[in-house]
Amino acid sequence: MSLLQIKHVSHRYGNQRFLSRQPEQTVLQDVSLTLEAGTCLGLLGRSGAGKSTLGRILLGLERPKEGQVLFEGQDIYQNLSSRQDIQVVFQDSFAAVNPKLTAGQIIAEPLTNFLRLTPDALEERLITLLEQVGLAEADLTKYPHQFSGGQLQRICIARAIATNPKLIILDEAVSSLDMVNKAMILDLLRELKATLGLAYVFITHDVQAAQTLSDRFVILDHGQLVGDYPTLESFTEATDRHVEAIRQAVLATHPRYRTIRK
Amino acid sequence: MKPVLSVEHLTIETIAAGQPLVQNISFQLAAGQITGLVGESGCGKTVTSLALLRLLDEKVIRQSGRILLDATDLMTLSDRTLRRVRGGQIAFIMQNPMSAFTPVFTIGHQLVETIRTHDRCSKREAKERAIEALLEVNLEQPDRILKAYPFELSGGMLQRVMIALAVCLRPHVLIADEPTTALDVYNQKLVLYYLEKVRATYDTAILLISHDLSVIAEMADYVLVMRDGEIVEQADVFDLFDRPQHPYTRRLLEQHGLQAGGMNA
Repeated sequence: MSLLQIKHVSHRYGNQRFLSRQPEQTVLQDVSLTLEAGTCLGLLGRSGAGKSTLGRILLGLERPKEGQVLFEGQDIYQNLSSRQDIQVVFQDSFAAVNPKLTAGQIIAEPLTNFLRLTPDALEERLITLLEQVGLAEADLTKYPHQFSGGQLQRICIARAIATNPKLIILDEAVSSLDMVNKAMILDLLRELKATLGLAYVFITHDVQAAQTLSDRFVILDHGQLVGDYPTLESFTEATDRHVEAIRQAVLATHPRYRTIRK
Repeated sequence: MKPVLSVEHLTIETIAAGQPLVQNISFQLAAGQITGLVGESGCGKTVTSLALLRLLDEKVIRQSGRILLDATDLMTLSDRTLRRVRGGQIAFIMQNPMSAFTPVFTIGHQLVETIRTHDRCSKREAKERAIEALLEVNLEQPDRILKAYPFELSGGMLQRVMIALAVCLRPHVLIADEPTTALDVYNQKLVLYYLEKVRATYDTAILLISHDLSVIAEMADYVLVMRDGEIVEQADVFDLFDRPQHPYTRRLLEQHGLQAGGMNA
């Protein structure tokens, strides 16, 4: 059985104002996908293609107008225990944490929600988690503003793995980091995937980042699944117009190959 | 080549703690050239760009050195004179287009206001120039965009409006601080393409700040590598990518190569 099955999911954002005549806007149309445990799905597409909406649906934050999402065979809207197994890391780490809480309190939140740990066990778990994401015990008492963007993203990752989830939604989780931090966070994510057997849905428009982490690639365009590539090779060798459009948008890595300036 | 803007021994520090943010940096911008400024978050890229226009709070931050625009030292100008330089001779494109516009006025209002602050002309003339500028960055239906509020446009469209706004006054120098970081890759290429068009059409000297070496590879003639407030290396873009001298530059290029592998050569 697949870890995650998305079956014919359609979603619309409606304008529900009184007497409003604006039509509803379709953001997802008949999307079907499966994801196996321990693998990473790269979900690519332009801004506004519906990537984040799909992520929100998988998290149970948004209920699709049509279709079904099954996690380990059970509907995520009926079986609320899947909430513990599906976690998320967002793009903007500063917006994703409460500025009044310390790093320790931030990471402890899902633990106190889902598990009953004694104070000692909790403390021990927090320290292990921090070490897993490359931070130290001393960071437990620091506040978000005392961290850099890369470090705070590590805190968010520690929070996401705290409850031993099986799936993490990475919604542009490395997009606003500089190149050095991006490389380090991608390394960390790869390592956690291997050691914890995590599955990821990696939502991004950054195709290079997607390629370093993903086993399989799909492209969303205007709410529809327009491409599905089961391996890195099939993705890099594909020549359809959607992959071409992505390839066209990739910038040169060396001034020799540049195309904007001749 | 004669530089348009020449920065000499610029040092920026906090007044309270005397903590140096940028230490003794010197560089020049030449007409029709794009100078890339690259470095990690927090290395002083943005603070440098703000210092060029003296936009830092003088109660909190002290800056010294010389910033020569043609023959005038901007450090000696009064606030009043400086206001004419800002936006007029030196324009600025910010990272986040969503927060760079005033949310309560239409795009048209903001374009017309900016044009009329610098050039004496009627509202109608200013509006015509605004429409012309919007057409130059291929924004269709400029009339509709002039009537729109910032929240009604996408990030990519707003960033093109910002370029239109920056160039409609024909500045000699354009500072673009991470102009594509907030955009997706499709819009990124489009915005870079219009920056290049500005350079080619008006012979503008551009300072392009980015943490993305691909943006630098695509756009720059000359590159400044910044680390902890110092410029550790500056070189022609081809020399920098082929023969990096400083170990830090080599490290950046190595990481860049690892991440970029796959999609193109």
